Amino acid sequence: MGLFGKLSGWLSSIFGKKHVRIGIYGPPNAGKTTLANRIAMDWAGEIVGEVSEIPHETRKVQKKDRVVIRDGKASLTLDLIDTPGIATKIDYHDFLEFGIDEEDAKQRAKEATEGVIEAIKWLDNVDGVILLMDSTKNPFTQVNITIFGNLEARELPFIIAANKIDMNGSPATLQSAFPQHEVVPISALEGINMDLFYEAILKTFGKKGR
Amino acid sequence: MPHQCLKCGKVYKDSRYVFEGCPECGGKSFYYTKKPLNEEKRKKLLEEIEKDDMLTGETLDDIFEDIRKKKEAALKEAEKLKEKVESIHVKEAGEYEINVRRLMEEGSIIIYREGTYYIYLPSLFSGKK
Ligand SMILES: [Zn+2]
Repeated sequence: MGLFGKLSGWLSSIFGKKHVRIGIYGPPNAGKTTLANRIAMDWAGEIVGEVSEIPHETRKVQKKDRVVIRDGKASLTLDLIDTPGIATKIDYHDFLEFGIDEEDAKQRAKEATEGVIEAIKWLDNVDGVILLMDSTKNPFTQVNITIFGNLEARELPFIIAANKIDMNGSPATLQSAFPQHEVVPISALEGINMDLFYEAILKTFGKKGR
Repeated sequence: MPHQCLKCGKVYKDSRYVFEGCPECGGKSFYYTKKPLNEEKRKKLLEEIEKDDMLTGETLDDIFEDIRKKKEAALKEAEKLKEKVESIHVKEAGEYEINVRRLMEEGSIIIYREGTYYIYLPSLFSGKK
């Protein structure tokens, strides 16, 4: 650790953590990359990665460092980690319908599976998590429940964001599915409720850290 | 941008109806669009949404009941998964079953493929846990 590292470590021990590494986790197609792009665009003016309708488009962890979020006096620097979607089943047949040929589809499935492993390994290296769910879908999937339980066991601070409220309004049901936890309804695509979301980020991750 | 009720096609500027339901027909599915969709497209979207493991029910109580059932089913399935030792099961090239819980809870990775278990123990490689 260099002098600056020592100094900022000492400062943050006094003033609380101001620089955190946050992972965006969730099932495929919940809109993780769209959200990462939205945050990066809102605060740093550039995007993190390509978005597509095909599930498992993000198959490697993508990073965007030093995104500074401000709200009045409070500010927080995020290193954003956009992770591949976590799934219990990956089948190359599902890619064929998007016009991908068999060989490419199998390769994509293999990379997506490696992506799940990579995403989970990264949990050891983050200070907090944005757990992104699709508010138009059943919240009680293996993936959602398992991630939720594991984050609690790790005592990692996390926010549940209920995405796609522009498509169908059931953030209320998502909240009722996880009554002990704050659920922030957003549309990453349309930028709805992002002010609430950033408020929740500052509140949840502003004090914690490495 | 306006919201269009997928059921009756009425377009609203106010996004509160996305939460409250359509005042015309009670529809709960909305599409966010500049160009309103025709009936055929709306029907197709609605069908897709329904088969896509959406929460269903006419009233909020119905939806909560649906949630309760889905929660039970998910917990049951989670119990079953505990018995499996492998974290990844390669069924054939391009088909994978992933035991997310094992991957999250354990440092080692066990891959099952064509009758053989392959075990990756990070502690053997890094020299520490
Ligand atoms: Zn309507």
